[in-house]
Amino acid sequence: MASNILDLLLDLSPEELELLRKVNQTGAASADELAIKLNRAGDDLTPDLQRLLAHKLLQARTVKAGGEETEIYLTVRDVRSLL
Amino acid sequence: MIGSPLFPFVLCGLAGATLAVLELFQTFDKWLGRYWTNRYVLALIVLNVVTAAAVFAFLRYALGVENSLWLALVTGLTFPAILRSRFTLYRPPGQGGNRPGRDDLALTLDAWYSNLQNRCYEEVNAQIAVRRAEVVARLRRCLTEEQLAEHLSDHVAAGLLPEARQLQQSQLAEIQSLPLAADRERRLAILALELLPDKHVRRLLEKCP
Repeated sequence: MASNILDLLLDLSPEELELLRKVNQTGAASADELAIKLNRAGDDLTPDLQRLLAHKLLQARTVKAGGEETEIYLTVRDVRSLL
Repeated sequence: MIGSPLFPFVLCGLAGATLAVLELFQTFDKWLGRYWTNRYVLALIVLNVVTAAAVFAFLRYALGVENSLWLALVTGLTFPAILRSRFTLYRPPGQGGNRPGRDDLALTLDAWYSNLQNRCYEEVNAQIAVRRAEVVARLRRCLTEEQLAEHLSDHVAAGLLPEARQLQQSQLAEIQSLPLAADRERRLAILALELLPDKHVRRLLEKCP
C-alpha cells in the first residue's frame, strides 16, 4: 500500500506535490483557501484536487457552513506518513 | 491528600492528561481550546489517563511494588512507551521480527493509538475548516465586495515588508480580476481571514447583525 502511494507521489508534477503538501500542512481546506495559501489567488484548483482525489491521495468531505455547501480536502493517512 | 491511596492515581492520571493535551496542542495550536469537547480529543485524553492509572495499578497491586511517589512518577513518565511504541499485544508464531508486510496479524497498541490519533486529526481539522468557512460566510454577509477590498488594500498598503506587500497586492489584483462576483467575494473574504489580524476580523464581524 505504502509503496503504491510512494509510486503515485513520485509521478506527481511539482505543482500537484506542492498542492498535496499544502493540504497536509493546513489539515483540511477548501479549493479557494488552498488557492490563496499557494499564492494562486486567481486559479481554480478544483481539477488538480479532483485528480489527487481520483488517485486516492486525498479525501473530500462536503460540509455545510453559513448556509452553503463546501467541499473540503484532507490528505489520507498513508500520504500523511510519507510527506 | 498526599497520604490518600488515591493520590498516586491522580498524579499518574494528571501526567497522562498533560501529555495528551501537549500532543494535541502541538497539533492544533490555538484551535484546540474551541474543540476540546470533540469526542476524539476527549477519548485521547481519557485513554492516556486510564492507561497511566492502569500501569500504576499493575505495578502496585499485581507486582507488589511499594507504594511511593517515585512509583507514581516513574509510571507517569514511562506509561507513554506502552501506548506509543510497537508494544506487541498479539502475534502468532512465525510472524516475529519487523519483516514488512508480515506484521499485519499482530495487534499492537501503537496501531490502535495511531488510528485514534488519525481520526482525531481528521475530525478536528474538518471542524476547524468548517469554522473558517462560517467566518468567511459571515464576512461576505457583513461586508460588500468593495468594503472587503478596501480593508484589504489598507492593510496591505500598511505592510512593512516590500516583498510581502507586493505579493499581497498581486493576490488582491488577481482576485479582483475574476469574472464572477461570487468568486471575487468568496476569495476576498478568505484573503481577509488569511491576512487581517484576528482582532481586525472580530471588529468587522461585531458590526454585523
